[in-house]
This record gives sequence, C-alpha cells and structure tokens, in this order.
Amino acid sequence: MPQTPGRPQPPTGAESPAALEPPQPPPAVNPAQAHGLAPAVGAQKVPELDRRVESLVEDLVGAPAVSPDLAARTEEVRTMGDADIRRAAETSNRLLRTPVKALHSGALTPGSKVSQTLLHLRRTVEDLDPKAVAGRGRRPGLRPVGRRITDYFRRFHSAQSHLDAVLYALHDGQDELRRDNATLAEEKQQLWDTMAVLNQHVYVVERLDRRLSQEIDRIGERDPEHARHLREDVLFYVRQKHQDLLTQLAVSIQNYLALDVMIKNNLELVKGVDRASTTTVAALRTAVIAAQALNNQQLVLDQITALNTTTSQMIESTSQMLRDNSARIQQQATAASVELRNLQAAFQNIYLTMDAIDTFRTQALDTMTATVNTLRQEVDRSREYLERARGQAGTDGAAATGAAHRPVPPR
Amino acid sequence: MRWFPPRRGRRTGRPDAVGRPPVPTPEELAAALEAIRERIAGRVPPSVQARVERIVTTVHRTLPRLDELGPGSQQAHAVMATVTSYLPDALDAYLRLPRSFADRRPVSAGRTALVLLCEQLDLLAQVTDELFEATCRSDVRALQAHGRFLAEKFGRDPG
Repeated sequence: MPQTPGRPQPPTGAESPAALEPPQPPPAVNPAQAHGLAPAVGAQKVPELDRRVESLVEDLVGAPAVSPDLAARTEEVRTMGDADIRRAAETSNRLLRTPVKALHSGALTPGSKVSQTLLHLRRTVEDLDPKAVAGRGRRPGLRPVGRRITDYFRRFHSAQSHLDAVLYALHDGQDELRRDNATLAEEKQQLWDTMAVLNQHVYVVERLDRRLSQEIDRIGERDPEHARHLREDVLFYVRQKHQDLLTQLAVSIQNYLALDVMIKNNLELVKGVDRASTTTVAALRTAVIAAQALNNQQLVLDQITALNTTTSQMIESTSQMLRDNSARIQQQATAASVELRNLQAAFQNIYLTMDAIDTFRTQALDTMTATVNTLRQEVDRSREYLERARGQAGTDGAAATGAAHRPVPPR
Repeated sequence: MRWFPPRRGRRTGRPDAVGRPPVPTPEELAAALEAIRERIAGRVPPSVQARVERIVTTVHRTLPRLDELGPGSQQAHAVMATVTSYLPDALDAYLRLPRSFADRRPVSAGRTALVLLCEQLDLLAQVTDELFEATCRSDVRALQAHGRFLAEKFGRDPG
C-alpha cells in the first residue's frame, strides 16, 4: 500500500514496547481540495471525457439563445451526475451510522466481548498472582513456605479450564475484529468506486467551465446578449454543479478516512489481544517450570527434615550434614525465590500488556469521537447545502480547514 | 505438550464465571461436524460436497490430538473455530443464495458465488491439513529423538 505523504509517523523507541498506537483523527476535508484527494481520473478515460466536453460546448455555444436545443443541453448540464451525487449522499448517511455504532457498542467500548474477556483475564490473573507466595519465607527448612507454594500451584491447576476458556474467548474476539475489518474493507472499496465516478464528473465540469468561459469571452466581443444568456443560464449551473460535486466528494472522502480509522483501531486491538494472549501463555509456561523446580526442592527439604529425627549416634554426622545442607538449603531457598521472581515478572508482563490495551482504548475512543463529530458536521453541512442548492442559487460559505490526510486506495 | 497433567473432565463444558461460552468439548465438536454434513446433504454440487468431506475428515483426525498444541493455542482455536464458524459460515452464505444465481451468475471479478465458496473451501482444506500436521509434530520429534537414543546406546543406526 503506498505511503501517504504528510501523515504523522508513529513515534519510535521512547514509549514502552507494549504501547499501542491509536491513529490520529482525520481533519475536516475541504471541498476545494476534494478533487486532488479523490481517485484520479484514469489516463485512458481522459480523451473520452474531453470529447464529451467539446461536444457539449459546441452544442451550447452553437444553439440559438432561448431555443429548445439550448434548453435541452442546459438541462443536461444541470442534472449531470445527479444520480451519482444522490447515491453518494445516501451512502454517506448510511456509513455515518458505522462509526457512531462503533463508538457506542463497538470493540473499543467497555461492554464489548473483547473488553469483557480482557477484564475476565485480568481478574483470573490477579487471582493467580504469585506475589503473596513469594513475599516471605527465605528462612531455610520452613515447612509453611513449601505448603504455600504447593497450595499456590494447586490453585493454578484448578484455574486451568478457566484460563483455557479465557484464551479461547480472546481468539474468538480477534476473529470478530478481523471480520469487522473485512466488512469495512468492502465498504471502503464501494466508497472508492463512488469517489472515482464523482471525480470524473468533477473533471468534466471543471473543463466545461474553462472552455465555456473561453467561448463566452469570445462571443461577448460581438454579441454581449448571447454571452450574458450563456453566463447566466448555463455557466451558472455548471459552477453550481461543480460545487455540488465537490461538496459530496468531500463528504465521501471524510467517510473513507473515518472507515480507515476504524480499521486501524481494530488492527491495534488485535495486536493488543495477541500480546495479552502470548504473555498469559508465557506466564503459564513459567509457572510450570517454577512448579517443577520448586517441587523438587520441596522433596529435598522433606528429606532433610526427616534426617533431623535420626538417633543420637547419627547426631554428629547429621549435624555435619546439616551444616553442609544448610548452605544447600539456603541456595535452594534462594532458587525458590528466583523461580517465584521469574513468575512475578511474567505476571508483570501480563499487567503491562493489559494496561497498554486500556490506555489505547481510551485514546482510540477519543479519536473516534472526534472523527465522528467531524464527519457528522460535514454530512450535515453538505446536506444543508444540497437542499439549498436544489431550490435556489446559493453557495456554501463555510470553509473548512485544509486536509493533511489523503485517502489511500484499498488493496 | 501438556502443562499440568490433564485432569479428568478438563473440558467439562461448564461456562466460566462471566457466563461466556467455554471451549467446545470434543463431543460438541463431533456433533457440529456431523451437523455440517447433514446441512449440505443434497443441497450442494458435488464439487462442494467433496471439498467439505475432505475438510471434515481432516478435522476428525485432528480433534483427538488438539492437546498436543498446548493450552490457549491459537492453532487449536483455529481448528475448533473451523468447525463452529469458519466452515458453517461459508456454507450458510452460499446456501442462502438461490441455487441458479449462486452457481451461474458472476458476482466478483467474473467469479460466481460457487467459485468463491470453492476457493474458501480450498483454503480451509489447506489450513486444516497444516494444523493436523502441527499436532503430529511433537510425536514425530519424539520418534526422531528415540532413534538418536537407540543409535547412541547400541552404537549403530537403526535405519
């Protein structure tokens, strides 16, 4: 997919590796720039469109003023592209619902399946956090430590089906996000096609404007009255049509950019859920290793304790062994705390990942709100304009800010 | 590879605390596979029937070995989701269309709905084959390791 010029690049390095990047909200698209942002007219189309313009100009200029021919041609100009504009407007209204719905009940919201599953994961993980176990118990030979450890891994054991279900639900959630994106990609393609058609009309109308103006100037030198008719009855409609097209094109582009934001949000969330899933599985793996290592140490501790109860004849050798063993026990106790520290670190990773997802969700919801507000304003403005333009002469005076974003063709 | 020794009734089908559907049990998956076969019987052209049969057979062989993929495995999820959604969703979308329209009318880049379905089924067949192989991998490795052990112990190659 081609890189879009002028789009802000994601920052590198400074933020935590777990951070997820919500896309920037696209600014309002200025109708004046819509022609440049929309899909360009194909080179192979240009000669055909040019011929159409020339033929129109010929007919418009050649027909006597106030003749049925002129009336017919003028009507053709006045209604040029109307069906496509109306179709694009209907699509815009329909597509406005998509980001609005996403804002209220989409994957980013706290009530969504993905969010609920992540919450459930967090609760399950908090229940299994080893910090309570690893807290104390560095003193060698202390049974309660061993028992705490055994109890802890028993809890792990019984939480297994829980974790299975959560991980399965996370993968399901990712599937939903991907399906959503597939639908959004289809809508993007439709929009792209609509924009291409509208942009062709814009090309025709802009060229028609230029050529007509030239002819009107030429005619004006010998026949000012004819020139005035053409200017007021034809060129006026050409320019109104131009504005109609650009206004609707701008809305379509705004729609397109909004869909893009939604797709990118979904992709980031898929990435976040991936990380939540892999960090959880990694912690499980670490827990297994820790359990095995600590179970072995548990056995050794038991043996030493048993040795303590041998007869007094063995006391000498026993105390020698104890002295040797106490160093070993110290080592093992340290090793135990190392294993548990590893486990704690693995759990820390899960928390970091989930915190990153929460941060991303909040930012992305803000972005979506801004995107929807801009889109709604644009749609409302264009709707007002088009209604006004139907009944009377008028131009939309409000000018929006320039567009730094440009729509990229769908793959 | 198993994490902890499998408990009896590990996949009991009990819903988890949030009431979300749990991991499908082997019985549920087997029933779902049978339901797919019944759903399409007599309703699809032979080209679809054959492809679905191939996928169902591969998944049948894979299901008993899913534990090999470990808990929370994305691949295990993919196998189960093939049964519960990927395969039925593709078939249902096709079945909802009138047969003559689906089989003869080009709808996407000159391809009919039937062609689109067959392409998706071919993709699912390829993917399920790969997933089945993934479940065999650890046993293959165990066999290879055993061969190495025998060769080392007896000082000659078993092969």
